[in-house]
Amino acid sequence: MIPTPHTMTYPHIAAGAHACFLGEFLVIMPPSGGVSCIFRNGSTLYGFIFHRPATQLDGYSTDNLMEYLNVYLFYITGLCALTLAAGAAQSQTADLTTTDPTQIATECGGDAGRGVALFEQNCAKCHDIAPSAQSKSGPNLHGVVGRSMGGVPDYPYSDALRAGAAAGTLWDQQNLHKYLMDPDGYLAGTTMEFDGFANPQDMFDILTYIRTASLPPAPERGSVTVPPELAAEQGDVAYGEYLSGECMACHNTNPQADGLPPIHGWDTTDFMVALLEYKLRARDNAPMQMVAQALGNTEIAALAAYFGALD
Amino acid sequence: MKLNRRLFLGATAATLAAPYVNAAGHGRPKVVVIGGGAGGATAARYIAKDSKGEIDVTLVEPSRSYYTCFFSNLYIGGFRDLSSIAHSYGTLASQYGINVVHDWAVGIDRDAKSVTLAGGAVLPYDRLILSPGIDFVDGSVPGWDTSAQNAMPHAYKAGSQTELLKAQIEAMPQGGVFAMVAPPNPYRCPPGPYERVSMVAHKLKNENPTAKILIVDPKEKFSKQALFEEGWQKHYGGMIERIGPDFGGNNVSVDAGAMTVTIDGSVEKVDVCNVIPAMKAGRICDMAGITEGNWAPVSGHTMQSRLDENIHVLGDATNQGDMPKSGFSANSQAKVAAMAVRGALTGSKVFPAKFSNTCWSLIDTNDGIKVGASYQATDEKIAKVDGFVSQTGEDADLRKATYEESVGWYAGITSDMFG
Repeated sequence: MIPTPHTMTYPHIAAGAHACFLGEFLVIMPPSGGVSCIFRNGSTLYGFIFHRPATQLDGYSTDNLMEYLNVYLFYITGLCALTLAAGAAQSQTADLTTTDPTQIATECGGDAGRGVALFEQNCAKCHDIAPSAQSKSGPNLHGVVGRSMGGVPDYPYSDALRAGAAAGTLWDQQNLHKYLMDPDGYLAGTTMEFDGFANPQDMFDILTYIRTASLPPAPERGSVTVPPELAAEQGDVAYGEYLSGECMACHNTNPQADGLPPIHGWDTTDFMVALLEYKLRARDNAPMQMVAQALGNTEIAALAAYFGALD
Repeated sequence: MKLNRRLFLGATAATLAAPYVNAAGHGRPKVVVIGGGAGGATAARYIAKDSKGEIDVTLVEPSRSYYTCFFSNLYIGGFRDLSSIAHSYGTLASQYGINVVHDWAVGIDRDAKSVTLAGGAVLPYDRLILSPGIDFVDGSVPGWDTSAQNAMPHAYKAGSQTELLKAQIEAMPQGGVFAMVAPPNPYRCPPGPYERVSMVAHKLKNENPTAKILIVDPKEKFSKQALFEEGWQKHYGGMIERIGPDFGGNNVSVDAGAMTVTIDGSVEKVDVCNVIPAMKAGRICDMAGITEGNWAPVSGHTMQSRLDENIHVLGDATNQGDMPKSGFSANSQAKVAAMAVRGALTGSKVFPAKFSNTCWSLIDTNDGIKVGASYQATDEKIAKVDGFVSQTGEDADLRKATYEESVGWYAGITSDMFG
């Protein structure tokens, strides 16, 4: 099944890297431990990078590595337009504690909006995802990413999943990818009635949705306060002046204009709270949520300082 | 990636390391901006405003009244009057000290760093900003050229063309056919043709309810397609037909004399024909020699031309990466360019480039939709970071709020452009 790797040196890669052709694919293994794959679609070459910490590749012989990679090459086979961004989805060092939807989408390599519909089509018949919902014929999937196999109390799991739970195996993204692409191949004896995804992007989209739907609920508007580390920031007015350009594409400083609400002359704490509430989704409005989620404490403090000083 | 202090300090240090040029040896440094739209007017205003008189800014724009392309479809639909999308440059001159010159730029000498105007004047510059918008690709729709634009308007540069198209729709016979030849990618305002179809349908539904709309489209897919198609079905069921490339939408020619559109060999007689040809960067970019193919490649960090570091290019004319060609994008890019130009000419602080865009479209009364994204600069391009889009099946209150938000945005962005 696994073609014999034909090892060769590849001049554009650091010394010590190995490269080989696997069928149509040129696979490159730099000595740093990351594994890259370049594959061809028509006349275009696409890159696909698995960001794996170097330590996790310790002990892999080249052949083992090829076996490991073959799992992924199987995924890549129906793919045309997968980009490097999706490659980042392979990260095993994902910060599962993040509540930032952008960060989640980047980590999972998918689109939560597409994932909603795909979840309905593929999963919802057997799985619920609401936080307190009972399990249907399959276990509730709220918070499944990152938890232990067999992690829903009292759910009658198959022996295969019980064994995984006993071994302490986690449903990290890597394991979920393998399972969802080929359930029986990854976990013989699973009772999940699903043949696996044909298109890995569908799986990335669904996992993005599951992660997003597993977030803690947005705080109530009015309950958000400025955390001490933000309060301690000295807002840089010059930086705020530059960043304000994004705000002024919509908001108006002219009090006569019937535009969006004016945002100059605000108390700096009120200004920070408003941005935090958009960032944490306590306030609705997609453009403002997007704007606020791209702002760190330094940016929020700078904007509050700049607008606060305007008449 | 989040911006942070360490990053922008790094950027500042890099800028300070480069010597900054001053004013070709005399007086204040000079910036010439060509094109007074969402990119050029914004850049001129921000450079003048933020440099507090340290930089001499000249804005070259042929029109005394500028009609925004955004919201010009709403004029066709009867939601705005023409005067509400017209803007003058008086405030930029009087409040910001910008030298506004109503003339055409006809030549750029990149070695001498000067711009020649049709009236004969020669303007020296330390930095040149080109924001000329789009021109049309000759021959992209066989049978159509500029001489046919009276019979078959493009209405894709707002003003008299928009008025003409609206008048032609009003003169259509009952049950007549409005045809649109939609443009291939990439083009100005991706949802624009489809918002226009919505606005034409809104008008016809009231004035000419048996009329038909035919879209001939070379593209498989278009911006906010599911949202538009849902809205067309809901509001204008049966009025709009779209012929995509599977059915010959990519094989079209027109005859402006006979008022016919030939689609894959089949001749259709139509009453109004809105031809939106393939687009390229405004001609001045070609004249400056800074285009590759149809567009001007730029660095996302500063919006500098990849072919001449003394020239920044903004908006529709650029090839920059992931941002759509829109007024919002041009306005966003203008602020990055303004910051970079000030940094280069006066040593002011430079921060990491950060962009955003939102495109609102109106489908029918109080049925507004939007799509938007944020972007950052990488060495290769302007890269999308995050985005959102309206969903199908949204309730009427949300759609109304989206439309009202777009009206507020219009007031905001035009005030940001023209002061």
